[in-house]
Amino acid sequence: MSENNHFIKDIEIKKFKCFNSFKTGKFKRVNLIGGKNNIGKTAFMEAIYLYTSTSMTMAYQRLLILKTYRNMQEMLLSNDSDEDILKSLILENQDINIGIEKQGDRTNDDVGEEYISEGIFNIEKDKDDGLFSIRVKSEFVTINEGVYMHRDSDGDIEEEEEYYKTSSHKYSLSKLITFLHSNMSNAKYSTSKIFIGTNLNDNNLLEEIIGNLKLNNKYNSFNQHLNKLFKIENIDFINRKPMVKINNQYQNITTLGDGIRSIIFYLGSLLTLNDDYIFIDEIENGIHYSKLDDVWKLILTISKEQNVQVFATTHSKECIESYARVAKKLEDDNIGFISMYKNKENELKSITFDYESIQNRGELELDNR
Amino acid sequence: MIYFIVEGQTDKALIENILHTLGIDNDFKFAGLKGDGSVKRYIENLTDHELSENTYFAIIDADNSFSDSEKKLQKCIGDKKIYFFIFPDHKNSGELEDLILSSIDIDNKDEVIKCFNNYKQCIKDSINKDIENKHKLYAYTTLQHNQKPEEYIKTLDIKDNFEELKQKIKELFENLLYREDPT
Repeated sequence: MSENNHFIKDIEIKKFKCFNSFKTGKFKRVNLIGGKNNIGKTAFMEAIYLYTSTSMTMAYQRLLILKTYRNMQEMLLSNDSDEDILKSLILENQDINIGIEKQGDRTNDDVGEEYISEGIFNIEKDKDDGLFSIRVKSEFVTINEGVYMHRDSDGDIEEEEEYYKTSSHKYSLSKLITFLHSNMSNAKYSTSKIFIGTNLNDNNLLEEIIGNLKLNNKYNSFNQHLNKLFKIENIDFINRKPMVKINNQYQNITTLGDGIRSIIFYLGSLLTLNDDYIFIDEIENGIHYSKLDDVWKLILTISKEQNVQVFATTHSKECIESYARVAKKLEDDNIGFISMYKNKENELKSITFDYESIQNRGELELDNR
Repeated sequence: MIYFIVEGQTDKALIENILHTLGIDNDFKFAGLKGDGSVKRYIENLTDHELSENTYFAIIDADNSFSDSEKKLQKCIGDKKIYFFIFPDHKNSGELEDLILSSIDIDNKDEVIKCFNNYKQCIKDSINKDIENKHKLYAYTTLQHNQKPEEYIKTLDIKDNFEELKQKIKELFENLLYREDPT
């Protein structure tokens, strides 16, 4: 894929979490998202994460991952099954519509009325019969293709003929859940590597990252970076536990500080991606401010080499300053800063600053958060 | 929040002194402060959201031409709601330091100033270059008062001076009270 071809430039979000109708754009290769607490920075990034799904099931798989990641504690307490979670996801997001402008349709630099949205997916509930229909990229999803099989209460495999004889595009909630669950259950973590939240104890994710680094011949490069930054000689799973080798001795990764562990996740994920996207929530999480320049240097350099579009959120003024400083040092102008705010009518808005504005505002000490 | 966008520390010190003298205790901040040109750059980089959330008062020097400086500033401001004032008195050429020096009335009375004026004339005669009055003020405050200009200005008695600027600042706060736009 040639450089930047897959990069998202604009987005429109309707009825997703805190967004009723929200448009923004002018995205670059690396995009940092700021704004006050609880303004919707993470939800905004989640919407883009969902948009980059390539299928309905991947989109719902990602919704499940997001819900799991955001509500981990609550879910552990409730003991909800995946089916229960899917049910709540469908009911919560039945009007969801995340769209993108078609390439080349915009007639000026602003994201205006001519913005044409192409929904990634939406689910609608018919008011009369209470049945649901799903559309992906404006096309109705037919879920009766192929033979669908599931296990009955005794564990025997049985086919459900009636299920795929449905002639319309409308389904009951239970069938929708069964369909989605059957498609999602085998690959719960297969795409999770590109959405990095604050759960540093996700050993499944770390194991997958390290596995992918080995498969992609990036494992040595990964260890070299860690050695240069933290004198870590090696990181691997030993007896199913994540271990780091320092001074020729292995120790559990939990002995490292949160900042180093965050950087391990960012670096490992980025190195395995090509022509892809990465989403990092609260990028400064646990990282000492003196290491922020190293983090941005890694992200800006590797994302350029691997042609990866980066979306990250931050609360930190130091993190924004570091972002601007390192981009200037590397002469990398393919960066943006998306500032989210509420206007006087309490509507959610955003403004995207380009490289020049970021540098100017930094020098003038204008607060970008 | 009210922001005073100024060129440097001496402007900031004078505004602080005026606000104190007028008994105004509203919250305010200073911006720009990066020398000549930083006021215009600051204005150019303000977003609509920042303009709607805050009140801005820009202050620059007229330098060689009041009308040219006013035109350039107005062009930069455009239709943004920003109050402004041009030193020394919002009608003549010059700069803040002229205003300060005239207010303390020391020309040809103070020994440092007399020496500085001779030096200024000598440079003019020798290489035909003008020395800005900010250097004269610096010489005076550092040699006679052992203070940087901004420290000296901050505590200067200004009860009977700077009437134009005081009036403009009073208007700003009165307008804020009634939420009128700058004109």
